[in-house]
Amino acid sequence: MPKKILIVDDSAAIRQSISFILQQEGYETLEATDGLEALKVLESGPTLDLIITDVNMPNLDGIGFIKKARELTPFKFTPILVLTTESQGSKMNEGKEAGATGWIVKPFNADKLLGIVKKVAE
Amino acid sequence: MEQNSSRRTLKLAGALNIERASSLKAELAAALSASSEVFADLSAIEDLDLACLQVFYAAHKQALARGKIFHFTGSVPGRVVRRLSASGFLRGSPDTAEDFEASLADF
Amino acid sequence: MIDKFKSAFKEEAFELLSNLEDIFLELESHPLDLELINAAFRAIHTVKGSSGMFGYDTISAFTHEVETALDHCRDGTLSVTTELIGLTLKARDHIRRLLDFEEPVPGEIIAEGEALLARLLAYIAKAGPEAMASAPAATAATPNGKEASAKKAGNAPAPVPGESETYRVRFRPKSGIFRDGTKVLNLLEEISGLGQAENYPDTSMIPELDSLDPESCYCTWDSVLTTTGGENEIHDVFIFVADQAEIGIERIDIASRINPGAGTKRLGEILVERGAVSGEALREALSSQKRLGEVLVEKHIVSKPQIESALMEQEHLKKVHERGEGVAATIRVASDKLDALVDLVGELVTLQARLQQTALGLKDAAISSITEQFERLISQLRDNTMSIRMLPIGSTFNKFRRVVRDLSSELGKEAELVAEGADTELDKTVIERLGDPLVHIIRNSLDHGIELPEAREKAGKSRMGTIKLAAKHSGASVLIQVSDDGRGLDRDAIRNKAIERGLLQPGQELQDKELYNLIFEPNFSTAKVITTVSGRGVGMDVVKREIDLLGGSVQLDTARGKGMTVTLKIPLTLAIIDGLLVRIDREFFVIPLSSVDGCIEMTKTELSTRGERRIIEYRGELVPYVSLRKHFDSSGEEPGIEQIVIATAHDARVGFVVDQVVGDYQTVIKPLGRMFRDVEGISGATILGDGTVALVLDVNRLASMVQREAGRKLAAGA
Repeated sequence: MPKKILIVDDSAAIRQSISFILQQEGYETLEATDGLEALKVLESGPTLDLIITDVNMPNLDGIGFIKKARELTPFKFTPILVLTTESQGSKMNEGKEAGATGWIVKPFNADKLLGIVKKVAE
Repeated sequence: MEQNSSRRTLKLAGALNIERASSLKAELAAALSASSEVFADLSAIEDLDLACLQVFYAAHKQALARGKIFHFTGSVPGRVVRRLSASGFLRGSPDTAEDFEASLADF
Repeated sequence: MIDKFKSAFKEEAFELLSNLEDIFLELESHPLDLELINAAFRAIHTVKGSSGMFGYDTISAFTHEVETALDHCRDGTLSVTTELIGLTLKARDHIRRLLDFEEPVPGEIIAEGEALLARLLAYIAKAGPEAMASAPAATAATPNGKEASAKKAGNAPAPVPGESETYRVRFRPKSGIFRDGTKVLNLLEEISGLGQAENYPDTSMIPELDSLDPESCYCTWDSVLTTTGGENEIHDVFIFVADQAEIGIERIDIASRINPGAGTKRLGEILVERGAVSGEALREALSSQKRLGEVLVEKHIVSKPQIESALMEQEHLKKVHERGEGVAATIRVASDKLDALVDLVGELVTLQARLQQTALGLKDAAISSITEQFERLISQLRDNTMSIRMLPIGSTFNKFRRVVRDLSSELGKEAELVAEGADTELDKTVIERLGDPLVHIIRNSLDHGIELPEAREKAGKSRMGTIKLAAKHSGASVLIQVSDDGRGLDRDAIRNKAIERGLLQPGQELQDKELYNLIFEPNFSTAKVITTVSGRGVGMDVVKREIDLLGGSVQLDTARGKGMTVTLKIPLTLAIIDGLLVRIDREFFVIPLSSVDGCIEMTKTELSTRGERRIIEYRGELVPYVSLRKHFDSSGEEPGIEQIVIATAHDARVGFVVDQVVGDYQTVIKPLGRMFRDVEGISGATILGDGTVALVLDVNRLASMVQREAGRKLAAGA
């Protein structure tokens, strides 16, 4: 059964490209444009192997989303990766404290992305 | 309720991961209080993570402490064997449940 | 493939930038509105992230600085002013413009961006806090900015990149590690993937089922990993769990742990190193006759898993060690141990010489036979020991490459160093002492030999000059040549300089070779401009002095306009040489046999009749000689018959008058103490079989003095 990954980012370009890279590797992907929409996806009850979320998003940002997701029983232990940039060292801490498993520093290439996904989700 | 002297086999299936750890603990605890010999059949599992592995170790320790028996049965899937070997729980590549149990570190 | 997302990215970016313009304009009238500041930051942040992803590195880099500025506005360290808004608007426009270019972006556009950024950064530096310093990067790697609580390897020597190293990895996850979705077994699998690994889990903390919290972690690991990847790769495995685990990475120094008897480290040592047991408890346990592991467990000093984990390490090290033996059959030895060995061999050689002498006196067939065998063995032992001290000269060549590179750019010249015979072996002390002279020669070539690129072109040469460093064996010596393809020596300039310096009488004519050798005289320099490099005339005389001390010789060949070659002839070893033992009064001297031609006798009257001339005929050649008695101010009467040892130095013969030639002598050379360092004509000392000290003559040096004196006398007489 292919692993299912939810990608949360307000940039369609980033969302789509991550999705594309993961699909090439045989992963199944879902997309959401911000934290609120992502929560709706979680509430619809999919089995997820990984969530990748941006930090800065309108409506509900990544940190808020992670906190809420961890409160939902099915996603208590789901690996979550936050997308950050080099300059946002503090976001890694905030993300970890909110319950994220790790982080991906932007910009990244396909190899780096897949390496981290494999590390936390396989 | 089965007899105390009875033997009970739990046929486990699917991915035994952290999400399953609580229910696995409950299942094993129930079986161990009801039966004197409990067997966990791993042949149909897809995965085994540290959380569930700990549950098996805990069940084994409890069985020993109470004069009961807890064993594995069924052949263990290769994926699980590989994962446990890489993390140091298994020495060698056992293919029967007996070998598996014998090779499991400190089990 | 990713290209099809580029248009999506651009569309998105256009939209964000158009929003950004509105936001900035509104911000100007509401500079304290945090919502607006956040919105601006978010927009810029998104542009930065996605531009980087799609290969618009220029945009990404540029945007990064704008983002930093806005970040300062967010955390209140930089206030929003009209001036700042003006700058950020310009920045926005620049990003919009950059979107019309594909990489590589034209230089002038990048320059515009840089000018803009400079103004922005200058503004932040002025208006912000220590904004510049706290800017980007560094904060990245680990959460809380703390270096994963890893302990650095103790006092083991630094690892060599690319070579496989063995590490002890301690991984103690906190009980809550599952709660952020970390899959602990993955980490151990990753460790296994890095190399040859032995992971040892400790399951002893897992409680009985009833008291088990199924969502807590109870296991810890000790791993031993042999990898070529280095410590950072191991840290990377644990990068996300630095806050959820105690991680210790310690390099195990394999070399120091192999004890010859047991093959690998003992269990007790490993336990003490891991802090599982104190040294005292270990000694106590060792005093009982049972197996160490059992005793320690029985006494509850260490747990069974601790013992097993330590045994596992022992096993791993044994494996690595065995594998290692098959591959590289070399070991490293501290050089002082080697020196001590040479000293001991030297003493053996000395003692053997005495034994031989005594045996000769005894005339006992049995003793003589043993003495001969003994001599053969010692000679083999000597050769073997010497060969251990041999190193390829190439190990120092890199240093010279650096000299050429740095110096040529300093002088505005173009030059490259070509090395030949880098694997030629020489005694390590010789190699060490050759370093400085070679640097001087190479500098001299670069400074005086190699012309400026334009001059070379005019002379029909390539702009790039070549300095060749070549080494090769030649009998018991090694020849080292430094050649350049520069302008060569200027005979007339040298001659004029020599006269000016008083090294040459105005009318005096010298052979080319003799003339060129003058550049090795102290304070000789023909450079018209004094450069920082070699113009002060220190250098070449130092070369000569050093090479003389090594018992070697320097030769110089040159062709005007074509270049110059300096050839150093160096004895293979300095430690033990075959020498000729001579006596003057009650003092003994050793003359290196390699430079001895022969010996002749001469009566006192013969000597005195020759008076001041000090020239003797040897095989039809007039040879100048020196009385060592006079040279070293020895006391005592000259014997009726003296002997003259004829030696060759610098391709010329010279005679040394001594009281008696004692005979061949294997000489173990000891370096001279400070007291003798300044005595001219002595290169070392040795201890004779009976304990007397004999000085080793520096034939080259003495010969130069004699020849110079003879030359002066000739000139004076003429």
